[in-house]
Amino acid sequence: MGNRAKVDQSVFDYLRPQLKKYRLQTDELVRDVSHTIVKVKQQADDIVLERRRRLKRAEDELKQCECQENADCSGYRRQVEQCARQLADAVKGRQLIEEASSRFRHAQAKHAARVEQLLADGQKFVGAASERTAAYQKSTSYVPSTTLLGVAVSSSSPGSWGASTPQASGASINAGGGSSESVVAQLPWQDVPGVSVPERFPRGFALIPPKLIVNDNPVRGLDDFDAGQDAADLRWSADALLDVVLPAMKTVPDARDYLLRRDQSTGLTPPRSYVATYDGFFGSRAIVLSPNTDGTFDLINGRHRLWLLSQAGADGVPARIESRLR
Amino acid sequence: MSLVSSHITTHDAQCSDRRHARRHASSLWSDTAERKFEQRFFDEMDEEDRLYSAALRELDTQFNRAAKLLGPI
Repeated sequence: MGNRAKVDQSVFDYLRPQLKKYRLQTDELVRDVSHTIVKVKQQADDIVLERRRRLKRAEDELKQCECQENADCSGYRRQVEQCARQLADAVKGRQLIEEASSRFRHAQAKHAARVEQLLADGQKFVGAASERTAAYQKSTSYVPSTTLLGVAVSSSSPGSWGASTPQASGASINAGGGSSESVVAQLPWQDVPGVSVPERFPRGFALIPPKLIVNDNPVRGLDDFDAGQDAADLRWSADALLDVVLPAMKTVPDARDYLLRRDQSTGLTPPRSYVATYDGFFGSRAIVLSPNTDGTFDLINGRHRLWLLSQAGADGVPARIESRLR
Repeated sequence: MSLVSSHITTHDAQCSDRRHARRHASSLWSDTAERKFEQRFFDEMDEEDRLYSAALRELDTQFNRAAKLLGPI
């Protein structure tokens, strides 16, 4: 790290999915270790049970021997003593497992909660930093040399800032193309770099990179949700959109029908269902954006979902594009 | 070697992945905000990873001790 301040927008595109990945990794590992503990405890129980049975058999054999007159039962006695020792060891081993598991579960619960908090804070921090740099780029003539818009800057051509915040005065700007904005202004919104109109999206919808979206009233956290909004359900939908709905729309001709069948087969019901997610993002309550002449899009509706998608690491936001001039 | 050892390996790999991500992010981002992010996120995650790793290893040790009494588990 040098003394000179530097912010390459691509770092935020890199960090968002990383943070999402950390959450998945943590959840998966916590779940796997918990399964292992259950399995080990079950095995320990089985071993203790088996050794109890062996001891019982040995004791029965000793009793039978002792019922016989003048019989030498010393071998059976040794067998009983050996089985009793093995049972005591197994009980002790099981006790060790239970105590260690209990201590570990406590540590793991603390770990999972702490990581969840760190990731939530991290996503918030990255989102805010990204917005600051995007706002800075928008408010200046800064245009990275490799793109028209100052977004999705490749790591090989970072913009170099002379100060750490957009508000800083006297920033050293590494502008790469001063005339690019006029080029952007002439582009139809469909041709803005980063914007795509997937083949199976409903008419009027497009996938817009979050950095192109101008939001004058951004959501800062869960406190900004209204009383009637269930943030957990909306978060579920945001994840479902990225993990299931959008991938399905890429590959399945009638995605809504497919999602409906998938809900039915897995027992999902609204609000936490795939088809409800589809309807929410592609129906009458869709995120609505309005194109600007500079290649950005004003957010008209859906600021909470935009925030959740940003938190979930979305590269593109599905939205209905409506021109305010119409 | 208990069943927990595979989870230790997985966690070590994830920690290594996170260190790589940290280095890559630092190569693209270097300002006051980045330093705060380093301190508030990566340093804290490192600490959490260290604690969790220690807890996993302790669990592994205890399971191995138990395995000597129970037989292979």
